Amino acid sequence: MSSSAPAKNQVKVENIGPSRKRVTITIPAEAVTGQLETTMSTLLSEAELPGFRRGRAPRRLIEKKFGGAMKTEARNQLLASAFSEAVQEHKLEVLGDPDGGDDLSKLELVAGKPVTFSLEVEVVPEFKVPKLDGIEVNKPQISVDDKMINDQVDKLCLNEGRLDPQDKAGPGDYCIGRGTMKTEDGVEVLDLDGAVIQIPPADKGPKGAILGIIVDDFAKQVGLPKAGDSLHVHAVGPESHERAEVRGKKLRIDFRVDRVERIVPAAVGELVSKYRLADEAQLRESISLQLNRRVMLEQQAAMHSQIAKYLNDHVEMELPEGLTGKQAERNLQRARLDMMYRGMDAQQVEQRIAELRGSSKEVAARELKLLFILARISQDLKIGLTEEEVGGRIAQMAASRGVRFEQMRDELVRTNQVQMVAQQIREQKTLDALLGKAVVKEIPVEEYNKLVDEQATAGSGKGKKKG
Amino acid sequence: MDARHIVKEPLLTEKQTYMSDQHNRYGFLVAREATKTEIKEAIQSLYKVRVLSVNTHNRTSRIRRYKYGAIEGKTTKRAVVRVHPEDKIELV
Repeated sequence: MSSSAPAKNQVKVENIGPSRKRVTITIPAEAVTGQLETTMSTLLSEAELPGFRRGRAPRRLIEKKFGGAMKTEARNQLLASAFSEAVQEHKLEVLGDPDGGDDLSKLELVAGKPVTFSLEVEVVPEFKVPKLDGIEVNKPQISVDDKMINDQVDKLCLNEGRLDPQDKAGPGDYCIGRGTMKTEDGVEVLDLDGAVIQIPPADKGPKGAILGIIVDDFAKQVGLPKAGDSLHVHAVGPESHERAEVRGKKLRIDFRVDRVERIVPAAVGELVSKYRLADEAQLRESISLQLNRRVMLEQQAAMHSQIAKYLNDHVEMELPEGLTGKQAERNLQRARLDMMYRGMDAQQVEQRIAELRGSSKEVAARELKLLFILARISQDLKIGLTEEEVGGRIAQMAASRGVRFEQMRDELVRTNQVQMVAQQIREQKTLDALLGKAVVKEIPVEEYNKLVDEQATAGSGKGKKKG
Repeated sequence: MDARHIVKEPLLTEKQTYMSDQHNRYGFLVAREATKTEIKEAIQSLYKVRVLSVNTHNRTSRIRRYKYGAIEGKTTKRAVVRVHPEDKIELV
């Protein structure tokens, strides 16, 4: 090998669209030869062939046996290191995997010849961070009253109630059975045994969900079925569904009702003894504590959403096209985690997720924009994250769901959502930091809801009504 | 007998590689019934080289005893040929 300084790669970066760049790299002949030599010498010293001691097999035999694989290995190493060097040198903030097309896999290294290849990458958009001090934020004044506590007691009674088998379903009853979802071309998308549907309660309108799809005239389509009945529901797949084959397609969902069950609410006394409390007053007190925590979180979420709206409105950026679809998928997962953290029960979470699937890609784009802004701000404000914080959040989620910490953690690891929990905490810490610098004005909840309504009619934004 | 039936395969081992590089001697696995003359002619016709001498040896198999009985392997014949210094055999 030569002792002179290694020749440098030539890198050319071109803009080819919003937040999309083409990186063309030329690796000099010496680097190619050097890489081939290094890979070969590693192989020579490590290869074990029958009839030869380790590292004693002749070079030509190794080349004949492993030449192809060796060249592929050398190419992958060389290309990866050249790309990461180029990313560092040009300070590119790359999102996702680079796209090299088919040509990259056909690229062959020849000793003594330079190699040129191109990759297309999506990068973090360039934008200017707006003024972060003194953002005006309204805090809705919500207090936990007797009505809220009564509603919560009723809900708990329902949750702890017993199932009563019925011959025929009535409004609000649950049907359990097997559901299959097919597209109009007859392609089966989902087949689920043990699926559950709820006949829309009389006071909640005709909307309902089946296999994660919201159907506007659900009550009319399913009627009041009996055990053994077969239901046929027609629906249209939401545009932002995680599965591409469902998006915007006409769907036919067949549901065979195996059994019909009605929830008979438990008596308050049963709740008291189940939770090992002294009396109803103690139950109401503990519910009041829980509700106060939830209210605090809701207020925080309301203020966070106002800061998010401010950031979205005050930053101009062009988003990478390909990322918006993926973001829509991530949004659903984030929303699911958020609702779990706020203590919503599993069925409510799935119902809400089904509704969110129908939301437009515009929401995904806005979320993506906010993600980039918050990432930049957290970097600027040097907001870090500790393992204890992630553990603490998982413990809170576990407590809200009433499951063990290990069970919750394993579920998040299995579904690959731990990273998202970490990201969510970092974002919330960033929003908290911004909230610390904000000018907070307390307003009655009615006034807050009015403001949210006005913004919604103006079509400008996101905001959640508080009850 | 056909040359390809006489010479079964070249021996590719560390020792044989050393012998071929340093002494121009190449080892082959050959048919048990082949004679030195047949081996010489077979190598000359297959590799187009001049063979100066042929040494052969029979590798008698050992009886290996396992818990389920004794197994006798195959007896093989090996030949080591010395080639003219101006000739070379490319085995790899």
